[in-house]
Amino acid sequence: MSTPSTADGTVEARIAADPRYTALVRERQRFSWTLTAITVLVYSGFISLIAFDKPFMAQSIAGGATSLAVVLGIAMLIGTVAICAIYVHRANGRYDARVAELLAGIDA
Amino acid sequence: MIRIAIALVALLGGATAAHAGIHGTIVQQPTNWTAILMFAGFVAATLWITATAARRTRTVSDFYTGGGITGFQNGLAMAGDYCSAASFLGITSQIFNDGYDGLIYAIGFLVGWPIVLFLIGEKLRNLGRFTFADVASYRFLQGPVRSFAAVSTLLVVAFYLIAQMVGAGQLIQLLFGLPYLYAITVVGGLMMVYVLFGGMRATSWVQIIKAVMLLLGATFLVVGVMAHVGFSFEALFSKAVEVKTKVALDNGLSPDEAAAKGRAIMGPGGFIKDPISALSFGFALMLGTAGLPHILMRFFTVPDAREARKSILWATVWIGYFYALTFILGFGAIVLISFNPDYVDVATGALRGGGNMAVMHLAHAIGGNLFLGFISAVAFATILAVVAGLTLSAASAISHDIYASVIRKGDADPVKELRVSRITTILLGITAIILGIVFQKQNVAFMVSLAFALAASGNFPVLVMSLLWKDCTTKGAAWGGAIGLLTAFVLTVLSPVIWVAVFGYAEAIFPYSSPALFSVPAGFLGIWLISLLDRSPRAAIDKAGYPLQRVRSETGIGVHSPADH
Repeated sequence: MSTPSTADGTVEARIAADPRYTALVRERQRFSWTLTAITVLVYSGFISLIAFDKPFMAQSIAGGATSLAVVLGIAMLIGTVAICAIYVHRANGRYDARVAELLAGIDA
Repeated sequence: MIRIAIALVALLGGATAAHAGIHGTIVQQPTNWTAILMFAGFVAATLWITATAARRTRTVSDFYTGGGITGFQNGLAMAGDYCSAASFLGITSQIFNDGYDGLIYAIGFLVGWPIVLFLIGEKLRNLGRFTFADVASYRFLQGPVRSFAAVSTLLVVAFYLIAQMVGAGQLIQLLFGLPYLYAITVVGGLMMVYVLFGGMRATSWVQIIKAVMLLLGATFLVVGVMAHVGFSFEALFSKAVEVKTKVALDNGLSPDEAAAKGRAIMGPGGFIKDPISALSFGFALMLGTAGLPHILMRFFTVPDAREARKSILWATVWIGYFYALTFILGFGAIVLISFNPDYVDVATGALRGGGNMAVMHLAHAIGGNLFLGFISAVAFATILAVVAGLTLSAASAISHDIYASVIRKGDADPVKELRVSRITTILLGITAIILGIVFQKQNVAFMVSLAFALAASGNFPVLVMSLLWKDCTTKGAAWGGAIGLLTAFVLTVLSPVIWVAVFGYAEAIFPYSSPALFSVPAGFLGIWLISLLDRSPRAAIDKAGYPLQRVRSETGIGVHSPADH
């Protein structure tokens, strides 16, 4: 893979200079880092809760056998899938539409 | 014998195998003809697919990418690549023994996927063609960065593969009643045939079929379990607590102690002891997933970033669903097989046939011999799908990164490159069989977690920095990545899993079960510092190349589709 420079006038250089591109990249980057931070924090929190307060996790929900740990654990599985779905929904919808619009404008 | 039990847990990612609570010994079972016939059916189907794929595997692009599949198919294949037989057997058995702790493992294996999606996936697809090194070296001098990526790929694959081969041999001995040597040769031989003739196309379909079989089989079992408890989770859990309490009472504990022991399966137990080890192990699983070369390679089988994102979402759905099923199956096993002397030695509470057999006995209890055969065949298919993916990724590292890009400077004859990848595949198959034999009696418990730690500390920082930091340079990526790898390796050697368990010293120099919490920052720091100090002319070129790379990674301009020739 070669690494040509972005001489003025190439498609890439024109896109890089387009304010719609910079706005899109900034917004998408903020979104993906926010979701990354949420994932890391929630997971670290879950592990720390287990490491520091096992009795809290083992307590019963509604007096039955089902414990808080089970509910939170299953919520972790579902939440992981959900946060991926949120990202894909927005990236494949809103962001891809803006990329397509940008590229169409540049080619013309 | 205890070594074998530990080795099986190794596939589970068992840095903390000692906590997994696997009891009992493994004995070779009588030859299981139902299972062998069902497995023969699977092999016949996959060989037919391989033959079909072989006719369409003519170019290097066919070999590395399989000519393109959809995001949904790729998601299933990723799940097939990622869910090993031992997480199926190991996690269910861990829950059967200790209850809740198995779920902590399962969650660790899932949380890496969002990180792949948010930070790496779409940019990887936009810039790369065949291997993750295409992306890591995009704007850099090819030689150093590709060499780093190839070495790192081979190391990660080697440790992962040894653990898989040893586990496979023992598992097959267990399930099919075949001798270890036969089992290893069958696994090594079949994986070689799939990759050699069918390349990525055959590998993808083996993984897709395996994923579907595994998910269907596990779903059927869960329905069987839930039917038994009137489709109520509360009933399932309270029955499991009752059973564990009764087992404890039978073992002579006082009623109070027995009640506490029964209740203990609903909360976290001994798996997580010190917070540092727990977080470090968690981060190794999380960030390692984002650096596994055989998983990253799967991104190049779909046409664009859009399908790449869909792949990850589907992979996460299926892997999450699979782990939720294993959780239910573990509790189902407690309820359904604990008092059956056919499955459990009631006097000791140990599973018959070996510590990882809980789900196998459950399959027999629910669906009889036929279904036991089916689940055994699924487990064998699962191993094949995982090792085929590993082999393909190692072969690509040698033929595409080393041969075509470093030795031939990107100017390789495609016919020769294809030949190199096929020769490499044969050599890898033979090597895998030999390693499986050499390591048969060794303690391989640390190998999968080492593979994850290496991927997290080497590949992950290099990919993130080269994609997202404009001032990253060739030297920074190659040497910083090497520092990450080396730190992970040295700390693992000094940690309890090798220093105490393998070398036999009384106390480990590095006390934690995983190095990731230290070695991942070491990788990032190395790349940052070396790039910062790099004043070479090449560094200027590397930095100047960033804007172009960035625009392409964000927009997909110039993307190589797997269907292109």
